[in-house]
Amino acid sequence: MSVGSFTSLFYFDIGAFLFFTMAIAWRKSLFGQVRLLRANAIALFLLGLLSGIYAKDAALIGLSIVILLVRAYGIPTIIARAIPHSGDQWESTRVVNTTASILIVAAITAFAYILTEPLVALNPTKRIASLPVGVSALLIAVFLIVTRRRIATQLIAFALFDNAISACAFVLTEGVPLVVESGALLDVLLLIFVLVALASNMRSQTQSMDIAELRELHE
Amino acid sequence: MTNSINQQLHQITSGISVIRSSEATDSDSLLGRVAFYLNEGYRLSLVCAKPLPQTILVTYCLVGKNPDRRHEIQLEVKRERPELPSLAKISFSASRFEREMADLYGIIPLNHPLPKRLVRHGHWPEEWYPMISSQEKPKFESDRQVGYPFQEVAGSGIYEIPVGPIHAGMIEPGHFRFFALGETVIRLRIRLWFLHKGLEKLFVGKTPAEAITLAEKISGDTSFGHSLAMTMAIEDALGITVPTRVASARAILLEAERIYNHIGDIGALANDVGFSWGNAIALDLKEEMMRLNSSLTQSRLLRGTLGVGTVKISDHLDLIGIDRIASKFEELIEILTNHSMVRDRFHGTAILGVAQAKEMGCLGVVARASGIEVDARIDHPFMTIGPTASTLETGDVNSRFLQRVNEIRASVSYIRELARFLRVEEPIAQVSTPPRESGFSLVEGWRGTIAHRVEIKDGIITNAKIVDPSWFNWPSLPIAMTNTIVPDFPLVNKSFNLSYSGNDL
Amino acid sequence: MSYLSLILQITLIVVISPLIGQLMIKIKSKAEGRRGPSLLQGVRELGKLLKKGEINPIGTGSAFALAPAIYLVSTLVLSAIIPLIALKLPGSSNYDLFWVVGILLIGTIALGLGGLDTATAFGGMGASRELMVAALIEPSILMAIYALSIRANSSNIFKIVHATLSNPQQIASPQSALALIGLVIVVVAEAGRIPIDNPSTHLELTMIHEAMVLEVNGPKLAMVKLASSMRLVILIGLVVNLFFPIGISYSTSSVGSIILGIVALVIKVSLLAGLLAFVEVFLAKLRLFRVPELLAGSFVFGFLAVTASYFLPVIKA
Repeated sequence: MSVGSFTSLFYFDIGAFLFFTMAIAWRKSLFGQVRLLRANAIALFLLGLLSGIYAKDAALIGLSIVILLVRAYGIPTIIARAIPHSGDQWESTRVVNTTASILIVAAITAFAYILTEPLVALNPTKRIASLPVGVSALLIAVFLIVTRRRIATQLIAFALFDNAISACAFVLTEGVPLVVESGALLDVLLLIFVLVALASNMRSQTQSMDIAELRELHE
Repeated sequence: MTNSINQQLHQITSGISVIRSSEATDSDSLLGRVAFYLNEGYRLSLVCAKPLPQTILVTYCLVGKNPDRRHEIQLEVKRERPELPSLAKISFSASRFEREMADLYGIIPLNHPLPKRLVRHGHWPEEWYPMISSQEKPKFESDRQVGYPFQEVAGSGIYEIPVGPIHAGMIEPGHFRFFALGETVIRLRIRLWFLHKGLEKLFVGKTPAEAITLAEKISGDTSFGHSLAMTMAIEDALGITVPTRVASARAILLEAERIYNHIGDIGALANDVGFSWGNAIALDLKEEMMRLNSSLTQSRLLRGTLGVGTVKISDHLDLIGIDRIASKFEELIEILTNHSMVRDRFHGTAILGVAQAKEMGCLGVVARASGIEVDARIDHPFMTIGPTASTLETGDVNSRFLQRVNEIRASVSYIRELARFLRVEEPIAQVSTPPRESGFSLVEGWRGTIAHRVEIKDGIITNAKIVDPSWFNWPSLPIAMTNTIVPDFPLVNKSFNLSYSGNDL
Repeated sequence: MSYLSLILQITLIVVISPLIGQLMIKIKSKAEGRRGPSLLQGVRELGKLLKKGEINPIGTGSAFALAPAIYLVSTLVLSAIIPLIALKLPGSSNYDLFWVVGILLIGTIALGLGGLDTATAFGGMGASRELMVAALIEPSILMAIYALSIRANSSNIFKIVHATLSNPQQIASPQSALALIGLVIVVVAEAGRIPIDNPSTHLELTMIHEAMVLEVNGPKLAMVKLASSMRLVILIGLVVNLFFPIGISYSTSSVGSIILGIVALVIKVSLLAGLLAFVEVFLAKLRLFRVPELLAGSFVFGFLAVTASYFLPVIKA
């Protein structure tokens, strides 16, 4: 694979990654959001795969296949279970409305660019130049966790956060130490399991997945 | 097998019981009597007037459910000074019936809070009452001289949007006046009754068979519903009880009419949010249903099937065809409910609250979508086997859409349940009770409960009153439109889909 | 030859616009299982309108009288300054994408004023809605232009298209893809198509563009209709040439390349218009107050395209 076509494909993929991240902030359908999370994880997998093929690093390719299995299949499938199959599958109440959300997402991207500029300047290779994408995905995920009320969306945002960390790792380093990455994966996986269990537990107890209503229970 | 059907046949015919009562009262105690029955859980379903040589006889029909109770209160007013006390204080529906009577019969409701004309527009001559005066055509005045003042909403930035009475598309006449602030509707006024056809007077002097045919023309899309109501009112007067096969066939055709109209409405809702693909599928299904109607009764609109004590229907009901339509329908609903843009247009749009709907006396789909349990098939049945009842709570466009979906599903399984009774051979209808002067019927048409009341003397109809559910539902449309945006009106209007023709008799 | 090809380009747009509009209707009809009207129906309707007399609503002045003409003339000017069949049209080096935005707005505002001039509820309502959409389009279209300009170091249309032609590989970049998405949304909004506006509805209360011109009739309506369909074709032509300038003639000297340019344009525009119409079948119209959301999305696509141009440096072949 030539440097030119690698960079071109890499950029395209990281662009797609950013696009799907942004689209999650836009969509209201919970199942639509899960589909976008899958697409986002597939873009992440391709990111790893491309880097692996380019660097001829078998471990990296293996890792990206693990990512494909866990992040594009496993986690979204588990999250989809947390969505009530009958009843409200839509995120209609948001702390920040949709139009403002997508504008904030744009601002976050610009902010991420400014934030990472000194970092990129340290080692200005073409690949590291796309670090802002990873950082902005990270920030968007945080933004979603803060502003969304449905537990399913929060889980999605959390998974997104995880994907963003991996994306940053792919962009920053040539090869990821497998152990570190798998460790992080497992941590998050555990967290997701706990949250899902918690979610279905809360659903069965309160018949509602709205955090605002849970707050009332405490009082 | 035959045994069990016979057993059920017996149950169907024997289980129906209606408690009827009537009383005569004077103008002093009218308010008290009606208030008493309203408190007992009755609702005012119909008010009719009959001109007699010296007096005008006004009848208030109140109906109650569980058990099916029907009570008539009669009041005579003098012809030279026709006045009656207004019931506007206790019933909104009554206040509208009174305005209608004031226009058609010249009976003045005393202390009416809004004694304006309703049916007769400004250009009708002052002293000419369609139901009383001679057949001669009155001298109409020019509308420009009379004018029609709307209650104005003033304030900075508020503007008026007049729409109609002539609309783009195939719609009947109605004038809508929006008072909007930006795109938000502050108030909507609706002016109907542009085509007074004098239908109720046309019924006078007709034989029962003629009347049944004429009733098909009250509102074209409810041909069967209205003609069934007329048939049943006549049978009620003549004391005829119909055999099970006839009753079942009628129930099936009533559901068939409901299915094709509800499918059409669902398609129109999709079309009004610009989702023409959904409409294309729905139109296809509607056509299939109408062909099925045609194979059952030789008429796509189910016309010409009813007679006193009879119904003309083919023995073969194409249940496979109905199943095919039902499964295609489920596919359509799957598409519509999963479409996020369609959902966004439907949800939370034009909410009609349960309290408001109750106050207005709403009926049918509109009422049930707002959580009111009102369904003549359950409250005033003519068969002991009824459909599954369902209501929704929200009262927005989406629940009116979903209510139709649920009703189609219920209708399909109801038709399946009734189909076996079609094959039963039975004796023809018989006179079971002594004939009476008047007959009254309640039929759940696809829009809602239709009420007809007829009086028959020597086999000729002497008086008829028709109430389409739209009569009750029209006033609720402006209520639902308040604080809804102007470009959503066509969608909201379609979700109500009220009849102009059934309203303006 | 160069002026001849300019005239040829304008004529081509005028001729194919009604046909492309009808093609979209045909495709929608077919997709919904209907037969649909003939492709020539648009031309027939224009002919019918031209034969009709004119009625001016009471109290209208020059704004109403001139609006259709300004709308049509601005659209004709637009068809002259955008390289559609050939790159080096007379004056092409003078016009940049800001001209396009400005001229589009002149037409929209003229028509909006014409709508207000009738003093009817619908004219005012349509004008206010159309101008709201126009105002929301503005930032998105500027963002998309900005993104495209970075690539060519110029906002001149000729230079952008030329840069793409000479280096087609750079089109395959995320920033171009994002800018394309943003621009397509803008085109759909500007042309008043689903999900922003429904050109085929008869429900006057929901209309945007059609409400504004509800009082326009006869030959003036023909002008408005022709100009509207021309705007759609020109905008689609602009988008395809900004991103896929295949087949466009570089200079105006050879007859063969001009003919190739014409054929290529017709095919490309028909394909994209057909695609738009097909996608429309599966879309519903947005609630009026959700329109800003979509256009904000389009703005963000443009914005991301711009930022992406900075963090993903241009690959030079």
